[in-house]
Amino acid sequence: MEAADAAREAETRTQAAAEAYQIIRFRCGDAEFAISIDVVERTERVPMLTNVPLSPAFVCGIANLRGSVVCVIDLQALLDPGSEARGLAKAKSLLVLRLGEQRVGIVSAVLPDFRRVEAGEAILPPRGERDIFVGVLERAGDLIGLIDPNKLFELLERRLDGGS
Amino acid sequence: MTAAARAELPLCLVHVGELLLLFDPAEVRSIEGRHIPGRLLADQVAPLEVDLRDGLQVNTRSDRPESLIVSSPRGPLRLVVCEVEQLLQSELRAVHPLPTILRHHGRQIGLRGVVTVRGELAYLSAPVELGLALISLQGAA
Repeated sequence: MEAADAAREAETRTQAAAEAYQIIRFRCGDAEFAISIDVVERTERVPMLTNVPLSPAFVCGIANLRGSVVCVIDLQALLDPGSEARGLAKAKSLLVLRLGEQRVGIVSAVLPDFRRVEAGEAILPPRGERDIFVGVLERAGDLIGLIDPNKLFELLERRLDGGS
Repeated sequence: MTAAARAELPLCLVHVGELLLLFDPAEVRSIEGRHIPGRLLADQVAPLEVDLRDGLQVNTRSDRPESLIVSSPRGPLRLVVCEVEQLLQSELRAVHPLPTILRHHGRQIGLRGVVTVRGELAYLSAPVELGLALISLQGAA
């Protein structure tokens, strides 16, 4: 990992640990995820999707959302390229994330749930090359991966640019 | 051809399975109608054939495919599709860029943008880039 990335990660984790913040929780496949509400543009019903030719399995399609076209993905298939992309079949809701100029829609098998995370509540995730998590939350015995939006978009870019 | 004359040309709306592709008529040499495999062109040249139904891995396909001819640096290409219809410019609705995260992927296969046609999304496509990309992918497979 480059020094700048490491510094940014450390800074993000420090902020995450030092302040309370709002997250939105959702489910994709068998796993629960959460992400800061700051990057959630909106949630809505899954719209009609148009296939993207020759795209990786994690790309569910594109959709016209109120006049702009958004790429919709299956997060579990993105994180586990060997898994079958089934998120769309069970999707009940769509989260639209925005980070700068980039937007992406993520299908969720449950209606998203908002909650507040207290300072120090998230624990550090295990390190890993595919890691996109800034922390892990525990709730009623379930572990919820807290997504780092920067890393999510970096991973998407790598996968869609033909990288690993 | 003048810009005004070109603007009046109907666009080529191409059906490939469930996909809709929109080609600029200036990039299409001719529309052949019903596809006849191996048919020579008027100048007795045998074009390279690219079946977009196979190349784009669509789920459904027509039993009576049609084809169109485009000129490429590798010679004429015959693109085999499910159906070609003409579309008036006035039927076009908003033109959108591809989502940022798909632009690299789109460039690789000649997808330039997205347009709304009759309530559905269609890909504004470069037929030559698309054809050559599929030949390249088939060669790599």
